[in-house]
Amino acid sequence: MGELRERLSQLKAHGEKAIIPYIVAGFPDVETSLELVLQLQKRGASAIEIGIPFSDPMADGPVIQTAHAVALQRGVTPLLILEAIKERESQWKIPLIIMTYFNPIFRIGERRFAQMVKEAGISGAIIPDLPPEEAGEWIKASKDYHLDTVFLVAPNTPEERIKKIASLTTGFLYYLSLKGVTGSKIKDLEKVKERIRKIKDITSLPVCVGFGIRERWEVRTLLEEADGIIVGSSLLRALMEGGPSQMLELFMELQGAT
Amino acid sequence: MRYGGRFVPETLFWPLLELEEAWKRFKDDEEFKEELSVLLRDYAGRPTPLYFARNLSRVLGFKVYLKREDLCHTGAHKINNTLGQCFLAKKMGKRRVIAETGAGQHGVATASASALLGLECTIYMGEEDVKRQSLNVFRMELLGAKVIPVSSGSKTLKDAINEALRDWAANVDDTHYVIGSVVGPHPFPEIVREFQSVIGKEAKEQILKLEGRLPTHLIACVGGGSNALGLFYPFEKDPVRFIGVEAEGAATLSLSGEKGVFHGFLSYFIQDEWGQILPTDAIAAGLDYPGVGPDHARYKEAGRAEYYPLKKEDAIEGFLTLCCLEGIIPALESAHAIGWLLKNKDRFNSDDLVIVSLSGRGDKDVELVKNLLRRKADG
Repeated sequence: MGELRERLSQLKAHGEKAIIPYIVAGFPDVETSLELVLQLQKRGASAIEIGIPFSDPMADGPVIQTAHAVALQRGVTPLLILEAIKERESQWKIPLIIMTYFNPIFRIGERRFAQMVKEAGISGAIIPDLPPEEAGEWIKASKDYHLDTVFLVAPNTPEERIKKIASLTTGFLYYLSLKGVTGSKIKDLEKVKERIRKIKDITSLPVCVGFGIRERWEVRTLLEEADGIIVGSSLLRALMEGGPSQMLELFMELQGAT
Repeated sequence: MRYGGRFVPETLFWPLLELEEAWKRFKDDEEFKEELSVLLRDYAGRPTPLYFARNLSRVLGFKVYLKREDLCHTGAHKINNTLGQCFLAKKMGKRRVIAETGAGQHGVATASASALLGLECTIYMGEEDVKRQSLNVFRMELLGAKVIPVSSGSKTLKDAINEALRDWAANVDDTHYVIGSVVGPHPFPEIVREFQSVIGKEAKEQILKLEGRLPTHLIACVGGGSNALGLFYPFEKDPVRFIGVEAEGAATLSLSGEKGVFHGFLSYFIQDEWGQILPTDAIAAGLDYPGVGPDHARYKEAGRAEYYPLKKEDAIEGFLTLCCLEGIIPALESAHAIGWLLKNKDRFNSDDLVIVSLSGRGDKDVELVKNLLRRKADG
């Protein structure tokens, strides 16, 4: 069990829920984005998902696409990000999770990337375009470097497959609230809750839900079933529109519902 | 290295398994094959001729045949695949199809097939390409398709594929993604290869009838690589050399690609040292793609096919030469195959027998070539 799973288990033992914000490293710049991680930690984030920007983020909607593009224009690279995170290692009190598309990992090499991530003090990685069937090397490397794996479950993932995915997951199951990209609108919260209930019948892993969560009442409703929520697009939109203070304000508002 | 694979977000995983199931069921289904072959014959105009290019052959000093995919309905080989995939979508009970397009050839071919088969059709096209190919946009609209300009990233083909994948993830229940080349997650490369293999199957039969022997060389342009693979694949076990010609500014296999994972599959991609996909620069929009189908990566690794880059000027030379020697205006994509042959004629012997895939007609490129020549004349 890695730090991520440990943290989520602790919360669960205390009857608490997790709130996991997502930021893009290098947006609006490396310094500010890591300062935001610190501020989110201070305001009660349970863990933080740090996005490594990619040229073609195909699971993301317009808001996160824009953040990735801006960060890349600034010349941000995975190495730069991981080094900056490592430099601030003493400040991190909660698990940090990397979220990246697979090609940068493939280019660097699964083992080397796992090592770089571990050395930076990161607890695990979420790779949206790497289904378990293609993740053999990554799963091995994660195990060797004591990183938690996080795999995704979609609204159309059949039961047998959920079992298989769960068996390869050590951190938490990331349940996608909707079919589509990040920042889309969730149509039927009750349906999402029902699915999460089903997943929890199948596995004892913590289940966190993400994609399209923007309102306090949505957080509250989803947390009736889920162990945690992940918020990204709505926070980044607030950051784009009103700067760090507006983003942190929104985070506090959503966090108040946990 | 195991090329291909299924590197997709979880939402697309199940639909891909479903597609694979349907594909397994229908690819050998006699009724499906028969209905499709009637459509290919009566609607798309197959078989396309294998034309002995007498004047070009004389100039080159060896025999060259052109596989006339430019004579297909909608002007390129793309229709072979779109008829097949739209027909498959229909059998799967989908009511809507989506597709990406670069210059618009695949978009027009998808729009035609959907109009024919009564499917709702949405085409994603990079904003840059929408501007460059406004006539093709109108063509698609005439055929009942909705064209959505894509303004993210480099605003070209790769971004149109990103957007199509995003749409597909959101609408998988009733939508099929008609991917336009031998790329994408499994089973797409196999499906497109099968539908395009009609090119090589016909060519083999035709050349044996006309010349009584197999060709020595097959030459085709390679972007994603569907017309090339369609021609090559049926000759895979034969002693025939395969030559793929890439645009120099998008020369994934012959110059600048590295192994990577993108658009759902493992192959070669033009990328930086951190795996960021880089923009490409080809005059032929159909070759303007930073990756190449997994079968071509396999051919390259096994030494089964050779791949060469070609400069823009040489492609234009191929374009102009075919116009005046044979009275055929080729697509700029196909002009790369002709241009390479002209440039490399000394590599061939007089008893060589070459088949070139003339993958599309050049009407769509006439204005671009006009502007290029005018600029050149103006110095």
